Amino acid sequence: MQELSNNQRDAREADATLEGPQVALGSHEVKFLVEVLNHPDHKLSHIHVRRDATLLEVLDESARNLDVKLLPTPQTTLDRLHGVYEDHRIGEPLDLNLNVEEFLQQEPKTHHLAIELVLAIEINTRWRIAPEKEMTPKAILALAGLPWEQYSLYYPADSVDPLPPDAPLELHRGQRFEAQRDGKYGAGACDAHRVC
Amino acid sequence: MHIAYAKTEIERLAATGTGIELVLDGAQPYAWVRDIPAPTPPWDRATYDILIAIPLAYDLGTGLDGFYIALPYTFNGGNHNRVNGQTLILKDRQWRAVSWHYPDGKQFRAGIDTVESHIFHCRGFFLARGAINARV
Repeated sequence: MQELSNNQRDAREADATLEGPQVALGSHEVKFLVEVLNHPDHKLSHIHVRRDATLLEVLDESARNLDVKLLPTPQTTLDRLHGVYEDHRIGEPLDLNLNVEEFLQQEPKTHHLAIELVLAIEINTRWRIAPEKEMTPKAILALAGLPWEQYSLYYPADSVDPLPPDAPLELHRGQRFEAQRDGKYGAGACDAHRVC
Repeated sequence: MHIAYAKTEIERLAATGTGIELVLDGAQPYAWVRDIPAPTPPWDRATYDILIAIPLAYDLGTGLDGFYIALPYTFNGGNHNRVNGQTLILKDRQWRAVSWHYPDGKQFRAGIDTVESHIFHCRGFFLARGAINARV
């Protein structure tokens, strides 16, 4: 577990509203307090979800409620959902396949969740979580499973000139790169099924 | 025909938003890829459809190479001198082979390269990038 930032400690008051009789909603619905970790516009919100909703659906509902976009899509997101526990400690990423009922059977229990927006970047059509805020093109290619000896990395995606392979780049969430094997022009008319 | 891997790759790309489908010209399979972005100018439109021939032995390690561009097109108001291969008609559209290939020593490598990576290799042609020999 990790410590919440100071500006998230004001979640305590809102968190407290979820304790006791306030949780008594319809038997098929559960109320959660949700927030986004380390977000500059720190805000808290409440959502109501079905007990049989998956945590992936809870994550999606939370993101829409807090007006943040999950990447790459809500259905295939790399972003994470955490429980926030006593003393405002953040748990490990939750298994998004669990449903709410199953989640609430786990110890310790909480009705306070936090979204972690990961540093998701796209290389061609491959989305990956960047492990560092700064990475070299070589490392980015390796992250996508592409050998740097064979591929060049381009940014912006329609750039003509490849990025210097060893120069670190500052990454931002949603950044899109293109990785391309070099090409060569053929000399003349040819059959597309063979090199000419 | 050994193209099960290609089919899987194409289905995966289609499922994640790439405009792509497998089409047949007789026994020859192609990946029809829609809306490859291109700069305008020099190209006369912002996106082109391309055809990628899928080798019948793709699953056995035969790699992809080259592609066909949907006609008509213009480049700098005329023809591109590397759009010079055979023409074919498929699905009521005319296509022409483009002479754009992998350099020696950097050929398509099964297991590392895929239909997806080949599409981005083809996109390099429209951007005149990554060519190890003279640009047009």
